[in-house]
Amino acid sequence: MFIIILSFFALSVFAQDDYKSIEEYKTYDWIRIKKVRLPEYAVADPGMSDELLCFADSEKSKAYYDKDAYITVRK
Amino acid sequence: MMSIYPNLYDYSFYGAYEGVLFLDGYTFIIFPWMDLNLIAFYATGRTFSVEFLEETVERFSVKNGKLYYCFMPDPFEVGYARRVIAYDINSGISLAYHNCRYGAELFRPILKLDASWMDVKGVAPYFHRARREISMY
Repeated sequence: MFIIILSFFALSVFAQDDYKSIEEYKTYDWIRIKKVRLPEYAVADPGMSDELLCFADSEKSKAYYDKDAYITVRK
Repeated sequence: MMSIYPNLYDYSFYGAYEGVLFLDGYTFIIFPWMDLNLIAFYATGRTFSVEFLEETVERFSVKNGKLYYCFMPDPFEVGYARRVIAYDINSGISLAYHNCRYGAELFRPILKLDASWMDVKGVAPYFHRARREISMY
């Protein structure tokens, strides 16, 4: 049990990294901008809208949060 | 399931993105996961041009093997470690790559073995397939 806890701790330390912004990614030579035209959707259920905003607010305090980042919704 | 991704176009594992949703200053990208069921959303009829980041570097693929793709947590976020394990069915040779992080060194081999059976082009379909395989693993 101790080994399992220790391994998870080690993984979390290993996973730490300096998060980079979307704007910074755009400056890399191995990144290009791809423009995709997508249909616009709207939320039909107000409850769903609340859930989406609740998730976005909960992510604001995370180190990887970027205001320019898209939030993907998989359904 | 929702997550904030670094706007990478490659993250569309299950086909093209389905649509875009603007809500309270946030941009949500919708795409189908298991099967398309957009009851909670409806199309407005308008379209918008959305910018994605696309990697120009070549990745590797497997000619006669399988590619396993591990990451933690699921869904993974930018900066988290991922591990790619390639396994050749014929020879039994396996190669493992880790530290596949965006902005960092792309692939660093753990084991230096014969990599002649590997191809560096056309990896995208294998990545998608590996994603499905690892989910059943």
